Amino acid sequence: MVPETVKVRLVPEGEEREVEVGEKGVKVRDLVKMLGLNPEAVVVLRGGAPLVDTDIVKPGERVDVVRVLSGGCMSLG
Amino acid sequence: MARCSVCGAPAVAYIRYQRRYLCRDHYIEFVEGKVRRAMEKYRMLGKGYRVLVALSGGKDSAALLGALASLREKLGYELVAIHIDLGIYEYSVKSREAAEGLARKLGVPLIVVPLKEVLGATIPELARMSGRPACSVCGMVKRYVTNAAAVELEADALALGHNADDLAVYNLKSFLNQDLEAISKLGPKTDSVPGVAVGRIRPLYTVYEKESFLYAYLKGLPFVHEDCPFVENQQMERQLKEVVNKLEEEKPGTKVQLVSKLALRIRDYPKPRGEIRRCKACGLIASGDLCALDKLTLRLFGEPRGPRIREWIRERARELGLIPRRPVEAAAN
Repeated sequence: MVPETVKVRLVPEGEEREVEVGEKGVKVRDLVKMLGLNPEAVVVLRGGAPLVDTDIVKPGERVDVVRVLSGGCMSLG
Repeated sequence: MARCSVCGAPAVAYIRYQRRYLCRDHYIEFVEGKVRRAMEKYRMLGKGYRVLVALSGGKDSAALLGALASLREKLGYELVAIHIDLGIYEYSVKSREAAEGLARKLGVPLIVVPLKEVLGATIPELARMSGRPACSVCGMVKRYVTNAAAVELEADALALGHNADDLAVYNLKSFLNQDLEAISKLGPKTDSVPGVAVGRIRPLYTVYEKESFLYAYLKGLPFVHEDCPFVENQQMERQLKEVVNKLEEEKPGTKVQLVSKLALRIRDYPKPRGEIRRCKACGLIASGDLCALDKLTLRLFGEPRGPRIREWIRERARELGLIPRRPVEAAAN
């Protein structure tokens, strides 16, 4: 049986993860929460195209979960 | 598939606090509309203004310059950009390339200030020599160089890419430290002090970090999306960002309310004490005899290096034909 998983790449960390999503797939918002992340802090891309909260990611698909906070420098003048 | 609430095209974003789905074009219009409304509401810019835009090479400065460039014809201001090559290893190399690519793409003249050449040392070197944390030296150097450039270019405003999340976090951090004077600097704009300091504006004041990223991404603007090697020094800011995002997640719109209320009450916060003075070495804004940069460089190199930075920027600006500044009518770019 083919595993019902989605391949996730975390950006910019570069870490890869496989997440079990069942045969029907999972809503983007739920996928992000399954990864322990806040939907407010990430953008999910499939083939480079941004997905919205309610889009479904199906088993066998690959997505990038991009942490929008980067640089880290918040020095305010 | 979700559809754009405006035109029905496939949606690329859901704005939770407005309960709207947006397609690419309407999303770009949405972010630029936010920037425009903030600039108008807080009277950041006027016709014929020269605006110096500080580019770090990251997503926020990309979104900032992208939005300002899109609105420049309508609002009638002139743009010039500045990037400081901080010499933070590979990170700075990539950041510089991104800033150069961005300015080229948007047709904005850019001054790149290589710190090693102009000041004589990189940020890691300055941190090591002074025994101060890199982020503190870096913040001070960036504030100095951007202000010096804005003064030399006779800019009317210095635009910074701080987004709503940054401001919310700094507001909370300063409140936790009861540093109320620091909060007084977190408004949408600060005032100019003629000849010594150019006022700062924050056109992304109400734009969320996520919105800024998606805008820069969808417009295909070049930016570096990785962490500065010194990022571990900013743990508290990172934790507060998580806190703020948790609040936003539970109550959409929290962040936009927070910054709007902050802007409304900003004048009630006490300003830093002490009079504004002119640095004896470089002539720019200082709180004592010397400004922070000249104090540090005098200690490290035996001479204040502010004047050297000012002279260097002046020469570059002359080479680029940016000074002497042209009359307002001819300034459109």
